[in-house]
Amino acid sequence: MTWRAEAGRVGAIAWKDLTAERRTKANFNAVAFLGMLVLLLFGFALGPDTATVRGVAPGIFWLAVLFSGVLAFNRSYQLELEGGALESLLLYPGERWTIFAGKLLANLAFLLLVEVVIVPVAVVLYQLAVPEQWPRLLLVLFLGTVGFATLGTFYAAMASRSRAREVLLPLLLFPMLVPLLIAAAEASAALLEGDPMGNAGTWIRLLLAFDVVFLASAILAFEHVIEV
Amino acid sequence: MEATMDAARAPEVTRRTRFSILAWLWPVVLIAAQVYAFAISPPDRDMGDLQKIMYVHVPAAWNAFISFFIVFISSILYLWKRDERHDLLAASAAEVGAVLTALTLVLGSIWGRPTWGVWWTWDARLTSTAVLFLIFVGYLSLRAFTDEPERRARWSAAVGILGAMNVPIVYMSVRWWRTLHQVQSSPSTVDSPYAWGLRANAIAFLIVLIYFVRTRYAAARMEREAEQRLDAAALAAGGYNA
Amino acid sequence: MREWRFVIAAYVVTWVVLIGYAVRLFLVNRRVTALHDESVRVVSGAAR
Repeated sequence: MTWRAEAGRVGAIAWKDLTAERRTKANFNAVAFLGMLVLLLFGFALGPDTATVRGVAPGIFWLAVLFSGVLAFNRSYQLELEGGALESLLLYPGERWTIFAGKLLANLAFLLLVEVVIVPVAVVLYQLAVPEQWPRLLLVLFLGTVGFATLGTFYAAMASRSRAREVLLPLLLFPMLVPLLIAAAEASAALLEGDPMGNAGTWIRLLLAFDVVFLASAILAFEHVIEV
Repeated sequence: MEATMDAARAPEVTRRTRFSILAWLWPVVLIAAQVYAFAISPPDRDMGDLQKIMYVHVPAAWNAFISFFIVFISSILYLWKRDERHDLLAASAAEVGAVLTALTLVLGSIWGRPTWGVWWTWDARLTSTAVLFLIFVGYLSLRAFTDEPERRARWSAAVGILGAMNVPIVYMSVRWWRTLHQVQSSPSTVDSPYAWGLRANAIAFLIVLIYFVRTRYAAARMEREAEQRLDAAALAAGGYNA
Repeated sequence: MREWRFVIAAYVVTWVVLIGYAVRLFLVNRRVTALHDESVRVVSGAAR
């Protein structure tokens, strides 16, 4: 059954990327520490007044995720590029989307692990109270990270093979993430306050729609960008 | 268009002649539309004469979105047919679109300053246009950094399609975001005394758009054909360098 | 009314940008035509 074969391929690619990452924990540490650093820097930039800072904390958290996470995407293609393995990978029979899905899963897992580290730091630095709707907050976290990982993996397929890879990825990626940033920050902010006006649901639906639309488009378009 | 070595010159000459009509026509039409709009519009009670800025700001915005739409359709056509001409049209429309979008933003700022005392308002439409501008810039940067033509065409098409799909999503999310934190209301653009003036200017700007995109496209085609001619000659001569 | 300044600024900016881009198109066209002529010359030269 080809579905199982393709699922196997996705898993194999994801596992390969993740284990390569595991052997070099340095990258994970660097990204996680950068995330914490961004949180700290925003704290300094916006002043020590607790009330102000707590109000903008959700937005700052998501910016920290974006700024630190963006470093992870180009690396996920670097392994193949350095060894010339990309051509070999493309020679194997099978749909291109499995390459995308595998890398997406690996990047998603990586980002979620980074967030496991950053979230407690944000809670501490910005004196956030864990709300009773925390499961929904976790959902927001997950959906936001999925969208980020989807577009990041997609654009990095091009940026990583381009002349100006460091600047090109953020330049392509960040404007596309505006709806995600707004929705995730607003939903997080609402839920942290107990969602008094019931807005969170709308934002979560927007996040879900965003994820679905771009996951589908990225999968469809990937074969056009991965070719050597 | 099948370009043989000799026939290649003729079509370009014909195209240039047709374009030169538009080249002189667009300023005339635009001035006429602007004069017309000024003549028929009464001074507005609330906004004084500021409403007249709408005659350039709104058509620029509309045509920027039309450009982006052209990028979207051409990108899809390229991935479907793999005909380089669609890629060149997309690139031309993107360049013109970026100029019109930047113009829209500057004019929106000029309108905002006397109206609300600030050079920028986080108005849903203006903010969405700013994001659209950055998406255009990303598209053009990608093209600038990708030298190989076939790869550049494929990559631009993918980026153009995804970017265009995001435009309504960006607009919706910014609008919801604004209604949550609502402070000021958006400017109304079409009240009846102004509608005709606006339409005239919108059409004039459309003519400008058509002229810009076609001229840019013609240049892109000519450049690409020249490149291919030089490549073919180099290959045929076995490494002879031009 | 002070606001006339802004209206004038808006129209000046508009025309400067549009004329400016038209000029850029003219310059691009000139460069590309030269390239075209050069390529035709190379091809007919190499055909010997």
